[in-house]
Amino acid sequence: MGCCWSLLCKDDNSSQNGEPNERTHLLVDPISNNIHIQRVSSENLLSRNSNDAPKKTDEQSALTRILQETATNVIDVAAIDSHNLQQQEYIERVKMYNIKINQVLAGNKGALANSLKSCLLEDVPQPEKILSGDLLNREDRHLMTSSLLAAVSAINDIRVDHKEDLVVPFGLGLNS
Amino acid sequence: MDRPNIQGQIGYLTLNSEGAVLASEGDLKNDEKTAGILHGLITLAHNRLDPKAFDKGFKRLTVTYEDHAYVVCLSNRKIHIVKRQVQAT
Amino acid sequence: MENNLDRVMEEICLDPAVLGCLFADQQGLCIGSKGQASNETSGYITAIANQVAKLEPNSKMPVVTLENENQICMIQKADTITGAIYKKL
Repeated sequence: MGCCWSLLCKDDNSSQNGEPNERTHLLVDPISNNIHIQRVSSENLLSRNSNDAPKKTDEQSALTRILQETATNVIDVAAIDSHNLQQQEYIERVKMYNIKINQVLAGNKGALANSLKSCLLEDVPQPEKILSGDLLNREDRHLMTSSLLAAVSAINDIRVDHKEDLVVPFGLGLNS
Repeated sequence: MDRPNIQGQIGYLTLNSEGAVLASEGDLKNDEKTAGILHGLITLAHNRLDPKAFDKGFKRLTVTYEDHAYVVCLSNRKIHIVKRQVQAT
Repeated sequence: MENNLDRVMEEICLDPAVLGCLFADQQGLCIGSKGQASNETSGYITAIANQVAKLEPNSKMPVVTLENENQICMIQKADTITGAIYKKL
């Protein structure tokens, strides 16, 4: 028989040296915790301490990995040697940067299009033609306004049609 | 279309798809408030407002007051707004 | 109770060019609809009318129109209701 120990937990659950205590989670969330659960057979219960070592190197290697990633991504401005750009080099760099910018912009066109995903209007090719078209004519405008007024008055007339009493006595006289 | 030139035009606004003002003239010069309101207006709903009734999408939106109107259309992912004088009825 | 409104809507739809009409209350709930106007659009109609009201708070309520090649949707807000009429152009 074996049992499943989770020796590595979130900081608030484990003590400093990682030894399991009464608050140690037996099952760890597999998504949030990428440190793997170690399966320990019952024979190794007594040799618990020997499992601390591999866990410590895991932590160590994770830490080293994070440091390495940060080091490669961080640009240490103070450490850069400042050298004066030659005119030619400057122009070349400007050209290169502009090319990169245009590449990124072209690539992002898909993202930009999303901002008008939900839009009442369709994209049309000739805006001047559309914008200069005839405006709302007098008849249609009058139809809208007068219909709206008629509707307002009709809705104001909505009232409950009192046909029967809501409260009806059952006919059981108090005296009989 | 860079500068719309439409009969009866008393102002115009050109916005990008996010509602930022690209150009403005006349009555609508620097009018970010109108730009914001009209941009918010057209992004309120999807193009097929009532698919049961309308078999095609809308190409133009107009807001007609007594003596003037705002005409809005979308072209090349830019929002074009023109304020036009209307013959008083 | 709503006979009067029904009558008003019928009269609007008598016009052969009218495709349908719809009236919504201040919260966007449909009070009545006739013809091809879907009662599910009432929320959008109210939202559009409320947004347009911000354009010129001191002017009378404008008529908003959404147009495609051959159809038009007219929307106007009154104090307590918003109305929409769909029409063939």
